[in-house]
Amino acid sequence: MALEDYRSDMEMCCRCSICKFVPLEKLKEIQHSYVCPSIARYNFHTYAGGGRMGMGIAMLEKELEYDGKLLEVVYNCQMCGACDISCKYAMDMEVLEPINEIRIKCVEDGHTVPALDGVINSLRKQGTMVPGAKARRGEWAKGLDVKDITRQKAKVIYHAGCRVCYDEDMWRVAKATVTLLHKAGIDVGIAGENESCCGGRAYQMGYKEELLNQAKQNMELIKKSGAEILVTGCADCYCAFKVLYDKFGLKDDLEVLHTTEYLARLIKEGKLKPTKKVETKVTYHDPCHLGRLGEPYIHWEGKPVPGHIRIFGPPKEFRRGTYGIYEPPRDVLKSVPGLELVEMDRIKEYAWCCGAGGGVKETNPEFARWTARERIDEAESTGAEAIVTACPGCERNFKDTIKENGSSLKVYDVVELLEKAT
Amino acid sequence: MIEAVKSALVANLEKIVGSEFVSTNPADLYIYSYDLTPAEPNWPDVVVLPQSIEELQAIISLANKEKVPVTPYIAGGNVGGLTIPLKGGITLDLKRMNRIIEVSETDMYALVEPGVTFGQIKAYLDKHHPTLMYTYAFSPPSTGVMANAIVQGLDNLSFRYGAASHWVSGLEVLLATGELVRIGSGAASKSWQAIVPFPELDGLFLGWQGTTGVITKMAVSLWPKPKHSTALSFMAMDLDGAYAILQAVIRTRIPDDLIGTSFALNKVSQLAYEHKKMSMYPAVYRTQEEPEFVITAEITGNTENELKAKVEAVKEAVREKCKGIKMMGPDTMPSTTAAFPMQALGVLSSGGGLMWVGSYGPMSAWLETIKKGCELQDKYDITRSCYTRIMNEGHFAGLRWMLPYDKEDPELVKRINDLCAEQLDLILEMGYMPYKTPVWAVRKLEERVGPDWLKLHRRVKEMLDPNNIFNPGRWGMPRE
Ligand SMILES: Cc1cc2nc3c(=O)[nH]c(=O)nc-3n(C[C@H](O)[C@H](O)[C@H](O)COP(=O)(O)OP(=O)(O)OC[C@H]3O[C@@H](n4cnc5c(N)ncnc54)[C@H](O)[C@@H]3O)c2cc1C
Ligand code: SF4
Ligand code: SF4
Repeated sequence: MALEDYRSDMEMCCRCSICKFVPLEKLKEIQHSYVCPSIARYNFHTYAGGGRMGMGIAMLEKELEYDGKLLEVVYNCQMCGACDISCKYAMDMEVLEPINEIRIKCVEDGHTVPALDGVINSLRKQGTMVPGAKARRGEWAKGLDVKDITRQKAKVIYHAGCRVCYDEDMWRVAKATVTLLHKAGIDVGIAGENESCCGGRAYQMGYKEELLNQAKQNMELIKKSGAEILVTGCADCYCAFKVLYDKFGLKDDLEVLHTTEYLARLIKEGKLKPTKKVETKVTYHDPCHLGRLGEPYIHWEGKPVPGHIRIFGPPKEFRRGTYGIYEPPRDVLKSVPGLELVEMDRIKEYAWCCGAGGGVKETNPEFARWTARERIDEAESTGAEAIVTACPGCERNFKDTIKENGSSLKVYDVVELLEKAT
Repeated sequence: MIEAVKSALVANLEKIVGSEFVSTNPADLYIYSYDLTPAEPNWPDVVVLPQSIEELQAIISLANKEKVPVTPYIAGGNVGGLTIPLKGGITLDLKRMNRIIEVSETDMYALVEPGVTFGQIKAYLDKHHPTLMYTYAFSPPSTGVMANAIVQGLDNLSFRYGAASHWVSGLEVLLATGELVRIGSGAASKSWQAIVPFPELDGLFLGWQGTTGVITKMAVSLWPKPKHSTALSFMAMDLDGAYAILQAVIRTRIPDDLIGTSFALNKVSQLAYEHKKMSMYPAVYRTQEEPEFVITAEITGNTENELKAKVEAVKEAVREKCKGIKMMGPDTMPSTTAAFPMQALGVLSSGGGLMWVGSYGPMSAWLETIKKGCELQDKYDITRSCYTRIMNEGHFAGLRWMLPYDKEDPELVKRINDLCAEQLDLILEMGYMPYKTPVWAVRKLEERVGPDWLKLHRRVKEMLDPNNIFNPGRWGMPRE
């Protein structure tokens, strides 16, 4: 698919601006009505999903030339997909797909931004999205008695992801995950030094080839290992393995689970028993790529029915975010004795992004922090002591923002709280 | 605009509102150059997003001094090309001025800034004044409350109260000179309950499409929210039957809202609620067994008994006055007044284009006009898609034929344009006046009015906007 293939989706945009907000029927508090960080921060309609539809058409029509200003709009977007889901509350059209295609077109036409070029060069050279990474990829697992799936057979492979492997602060989440899986008697292995980036974030940045290369490489390693289930604690990796690899026909029959899905399952099966009290009041942040964008890919091949507007044969089913991963992380939290879970106004399909996605943390850290700050304020307004998430990307951005702007709010991963209780 | 003039203008605008609220980025400007209709696109030179009255005053003074066109903009959803800046210049996007300044629970009005949307006021009232409500159009929740009143919209309390400009109870307006004027009781007191007993100066601004000044505050009436509601629908087998049913219901004075739609349009919209698809192209014709027209009366009551009695009274009136008329129903359904029927958007914009000839006119000519308008749709092989809303207890009616179309299909675009041109001639002939009047219809209307009307309009425009900066090229355009 290319941008041109989404022409009729983009043409369908009626500029109703629903993509900027939580749909009215789902709105809880007017102060938290925006769902798109980009329009909330930059105000001009072009920054919203609907504006991007117009921009896509204008690019196809060659009404707009590539320049710094155009790229500023293109890259000041977290690719969080909130616009897509709000739009689909009413409409049957793709929004995030064409937004992604706009980026792919920019990259294919040679118009990239330096901050992302650095990240992508690192991916091409070292298989990681973290340029200048100091630690070695498998170092986090030092001292853990965990199988190396490049040499030993294991049913489950745990993929830590770049954001964990190269951020020492996140190692404890990966360690806790392996410890919990071991406690539940799971035969788990890791690829250690041989683990490579999932390619998902590169795709969000417009680098489709890089995603495909990484996908092929990763699937080859997994196939060789004989593992049947891949578990990851990173929302971006989860979405890449589960949704994007499937989209491009590269997933085969690998079962992809987020750690919270797997842990919730193990708790239900009685293989993990959280018994220790963790007395705290927390709120849960749905990572975009685990929640609305974690919904399985729906394969569809068809054509518009001639003479009709936007009627397809066979009928097209749209991904509306309904089947994202929302309950498992909440189930895990609810299983922790003494823990009180309170909800923010914008949750599940309509969650506000942490701010780090779509390369924004790299290209415009100020915007990434601004977006996180909004979420931190929302979390604080619930009276929670901590914001809990299920993605190292979100966790990092919240922590960086709190460090810079201050807040008494603590930041945890779901896994950490479960480990404390088990 | 000459580049040097533009850069000086932009520099000054940046000084007024800050550079992050001024854009000359083509990607930003492009969006403001077109709308849903086939109206000719035209780019603004610069877009500005002010937040305060002071900023707005400075912008207008600058534009007036430099004679730069200014087009006020909220959501651009008027379906008439009204925010396409015909002469370029500044697009004044007012969405940041979005404060609900006051809600008076006792006097039942809300005082709002230009950027306040239907969605916003609904959410605000639901939360903070749950016993009060505003009235809404079928347009998206991003529609401006103020813009809807400026373009004299038709909303879900229009059967009771008429067009949206009728429930405006006060204005604050910024003139080209930079003066700020209050109109109505708010001019002389703290309260904004009514325009009367002053001379009704609101008429200098309402209905003018932003061509005479920028409205900075508007007071609009609110109403008590009845606890019980339902919708009663009748399906007439032909338009004569539909007319008889409408007349019967009108004379009861009971509904809050009374609308009618061609059966085909109704069928497509109903399916859309279930995310199911039925296209209006190629033209869908009803079968002999199917009705021609669906009439829906929204009815409310403070108690269940009151609601039941009202429903019964409406049914009784139709039974009595429509003997021998073939119809299906009545059926009761849940009321839609509480929600925006957003799913219908998918039908109305599925090809990216939406056009209509919308009008207000007399009930006495309703039957003949609608018959001829629908026959014109048949002539162009386009699904009958009439939509009517009875206004002000039947003193006039809104009538339009909704035409979603595929912007990518030049043959269809031409067919739609030709149909609209014929429908416009038809409605004018029948005494229906095009509303939210697109510029091509303004010019047609001007051919019909007397020369003194034209002189007065132009004199008013010239008096209020001597340099012709406000949304130029539309109402009150000076002779070229
Ligand atoms: C699917 C669909 C359904 C619709 N259904 C209905 C319906 O049922 N009833 C109905 O009434 N309308 C309907 N509409 C039309 C439309 O949405 C409205 O009439 C609406 O009021 C336009 O609001 P806006 O915020 O988009 O205004 P805009 O289009 O941005 O502005 C409208 C006009 O007001 C001027 N203006 C705006 N603000 C100011 C200001 N502060 N001072 C001076 N001038 C100003 C603008 O220059 C422009 O001329 C529908 C539209 C769509 C797309
Ligand atoms: S993208 Fe969807 S929600 Fe946004 S303006 Fe367009 S149609 Fe409306
Ligand atoms: S992907 Fe997210 S940030 Fe980008 S336009 Fe959509 S809602 Fe806004």
